[in-house]
Amino acid sequence: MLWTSLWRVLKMSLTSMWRNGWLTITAISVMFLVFLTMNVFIIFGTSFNSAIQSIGDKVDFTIFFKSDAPEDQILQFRDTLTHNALVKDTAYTSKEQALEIYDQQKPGTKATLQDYGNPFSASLDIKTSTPASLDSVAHSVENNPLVKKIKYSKQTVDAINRGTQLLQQVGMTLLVFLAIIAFLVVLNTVRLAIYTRRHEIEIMQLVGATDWFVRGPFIIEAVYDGAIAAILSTVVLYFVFAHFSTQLIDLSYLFKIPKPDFGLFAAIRSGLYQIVLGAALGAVSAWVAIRQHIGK
Amino acid sequence: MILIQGVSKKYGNKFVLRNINLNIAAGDFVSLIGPSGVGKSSLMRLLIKEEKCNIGKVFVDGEDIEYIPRGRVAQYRRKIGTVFQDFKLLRNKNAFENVAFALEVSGRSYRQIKDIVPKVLALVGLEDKANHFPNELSGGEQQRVAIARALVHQPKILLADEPTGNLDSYTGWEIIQLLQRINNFGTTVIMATHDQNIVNAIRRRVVALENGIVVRDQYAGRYIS
Ligand SMILES: Nc1ncnc2c1ncn2[C@@H]1O[C@H](COP(=O)(O)OP(=O)(O)OP(=O)(O)O)[C@@H](O)[C@H]1O
Ligand SMILES: [Mg+2]
Repeated sequence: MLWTSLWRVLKMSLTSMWRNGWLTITAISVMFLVFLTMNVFIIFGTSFNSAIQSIGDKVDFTIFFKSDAPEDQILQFRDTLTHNALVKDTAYTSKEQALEIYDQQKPGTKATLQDYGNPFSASLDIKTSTPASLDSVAHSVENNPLVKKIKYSKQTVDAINRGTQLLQQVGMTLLVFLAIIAFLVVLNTVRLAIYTRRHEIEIMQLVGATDWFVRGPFIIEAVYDGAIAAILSTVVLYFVFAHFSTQLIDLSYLFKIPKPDFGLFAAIRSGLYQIVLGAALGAVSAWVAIRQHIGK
Repeated sequence: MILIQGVSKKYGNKFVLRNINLNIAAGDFVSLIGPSGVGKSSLMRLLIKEEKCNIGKVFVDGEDIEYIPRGRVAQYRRKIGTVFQDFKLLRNKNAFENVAFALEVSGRSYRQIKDIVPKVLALVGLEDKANHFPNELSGGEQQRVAIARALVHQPKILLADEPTGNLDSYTGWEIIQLLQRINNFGTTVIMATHDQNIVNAIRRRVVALENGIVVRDQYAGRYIS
């Protein structure tokens, strides 16, 4: 009985989709456009975001060690830092290397200093994985007994931090707004589609269909609509990106952002997410919409 | 089978039915007559719980229908077959599917449906129009689909609101004979009609409404206007 009903509902919704041709096309088109907009926004947003992140790569700071700090302890210290998740990269300069570098800039230094010993400090350049982690890494090392001082340009770092944060917040806010608008648009499309068929709902109830038997086909239909819109938007986007690949490379070069990518793998993954999302969105919309017509 | 006790119904603040009392036994064939707008359809809407009465009680099969919970209304409606005055066919379903729908909602198997529906369509003379959608059928044909749908699950009670209103007198008479046959198998039939000839010919119980009240209730009655 349950399986028969389920099967009937599934079949009825397919037939009904086909017979309500224009209504189905309208609903799918609207959802398709909504998904397309969201997708484009997310793809470009992601690439823009990684561009912002990469600004952080250019920021680092340098730890200078006390001149009497034993080199094996310094190297040990470097190793622990390398294993810190917030640290992206380290570069060690020993006292001798520092002297060499200076000697290359001012030849003769080495000879002059030979009798006095090497006054240079060993140093360690640190790159953190995000601009935000810079501060916390710097703080964690500054009281180490080996460390003489830390040099980094605080102002630049703060400015960058503020800038990236603002941009990310703006991006997230836009995304949330877009998502809300998308939801409302889909909800109202489905609602309108169901409203035009309210007599059908009334009749079904009058001839003794249970609420679920009435609701079922409409919900499943909206699920199909959502899933089809998701597949369409993914496929269209995939081919658009593949077709305009060279233009996108030029564009990304121009704006110094990574190339917005929508390869096969990304397309399949995002397609699957969207199908689930589209189906869920359709189901929820139909559920909400049909509540107004069911149950007297 | 059906007991209507002191029922009044108003739309807005205008009463259409006032203090209606009727006792309809199982197997009765009742013709409900009265001028247009007197409340015949309204009475039927009360019986299938499409509307609620403002005063009074309605018992069907011994059960006070006011207290049927929402979850059981669908099941309740399935024991009543209704031919609506405006047919209420699903316009996205063809004749076959419209009739089949009444069986589908009660969970009949596909095999049963394939077996029963053509027979019922043949009974109303529409075996060759099974694939037609309502907009491809004439008024009389739509009416016959509506009748087929009301009969298909062999209801205990059949409400027929103007079932011959769109039919020529010959087809109309055939439908009446069909209703009588169903009645002979034990189904209680309540039919609203304007058709004087039919009422006079069948010579069964006649309930006449006027100004929202029952003015006449006669077994083997005639149509007097
Ligand atoms: N939903 C409604 N809201 C307000 N008034 C209504 C409503 N339904 C019916 N009425 C009114 O109630 C009265 C009775 O209507 P009803 O449909 O029961 O008449 P009827 O006896 O079936 O008439 P007919 O023979 O023309 O079918 C009419 O005056 C009608 O205008
Ligand atoms: Mg009427």
